[in-house]
Amino acid sequence: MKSINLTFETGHIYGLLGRNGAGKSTLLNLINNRMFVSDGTIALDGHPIKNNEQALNQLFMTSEDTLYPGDMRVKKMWRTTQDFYGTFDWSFAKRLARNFNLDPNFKLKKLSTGNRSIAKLITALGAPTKFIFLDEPTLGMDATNRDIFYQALLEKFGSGDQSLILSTHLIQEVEKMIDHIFVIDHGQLIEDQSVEAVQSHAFAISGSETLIKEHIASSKIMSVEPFGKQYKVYVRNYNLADLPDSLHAESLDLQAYFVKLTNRGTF
Amino acid sequence: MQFNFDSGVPLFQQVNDQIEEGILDGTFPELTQIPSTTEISQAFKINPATVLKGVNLLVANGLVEKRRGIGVFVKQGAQEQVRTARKAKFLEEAVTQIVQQAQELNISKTQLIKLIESRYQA
Repeated sequence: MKSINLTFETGHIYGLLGRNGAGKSTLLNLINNRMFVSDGTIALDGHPIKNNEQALNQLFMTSEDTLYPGDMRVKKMWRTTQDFYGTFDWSFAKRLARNFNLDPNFKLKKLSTGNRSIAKLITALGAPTKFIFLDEPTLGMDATNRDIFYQALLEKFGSGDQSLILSTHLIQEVEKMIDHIFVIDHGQLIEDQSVEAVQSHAFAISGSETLIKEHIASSKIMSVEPFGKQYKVYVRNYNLADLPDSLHAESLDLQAYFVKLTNRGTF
Repeated sequence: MQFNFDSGVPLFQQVNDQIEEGILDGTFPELTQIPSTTEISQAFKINPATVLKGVNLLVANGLVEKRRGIGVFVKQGAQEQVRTARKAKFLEEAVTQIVQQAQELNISKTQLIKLIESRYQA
């Protein structure tokens, strides 16, 4: 992980994207003080979070690791969260548990892998912190449960004074929910833009090789696909108004954009 | 309603367009309430701020109004306003496009008019 500089603000649903092993979890662990930076600073409102209880109380993170003992009951986990962070949204958590069909009286070790993820998710969504970080929250969850989860997070975030940072590989499922993306690749931040800006400037442009080389700046090209005499290039930060009539542009969905961005072809 | 990320139209604009469509076809009659931001957001898994931006565009265009604490209502005359705007857009864009394509394909003016008339008779 090197020279990464990024800022989270309240009132957003952020997507933290990256291929396997790109460094997403490392970044989240660093931000949440679970790992320590060798160089650089993590700060909340300008105050470094290291040994800063007040700042750390505004961050909540859930990952694959379970930090709670297996003998603990789900509702005790919620109680512990309340004790630690001051408050907890009990009515939201109970309603979610009902929607997920999860009994809060169960001990964590008695739950299936999927239900244990759900229990931890509910804990995170009920926490009062300004920033909630979810590392691969839908791992092992079925489609119906993911749907319930997405509804819950849309109810809770996206406006107001909390923010959610979601790391996920299921880009198509979240592309309309997240409003800003960060893409991590080989330990570096290679994208930091609003989804709206990404969407309106990413295209697949096709035409003859000569025309493409003449009109499309190579700095904007993410990937190239030769196709007979036709060329197709995937571009980012491209202004559609600059497109000559002789070339054809198609919009990309976020997943296609991500794949082209992180799997560069050669020109 | 349907929202496509890769249609090339920004999502907030799609929210605006879809509600406009609903006003035009009577799904959202005048003086009635349209679904709330939260309802639209959850039903279509769209960021609430994006939905709000689309709804605010409708407010700015005078098609709907916010009633504090109750919700968003379709204004009287909104249906006619949408129809007028769409008519203007159709004449401007669709007709221009058809004529342009016909010219590219060497379809004569008489032929094109005949084609259009035949569709009316069908």
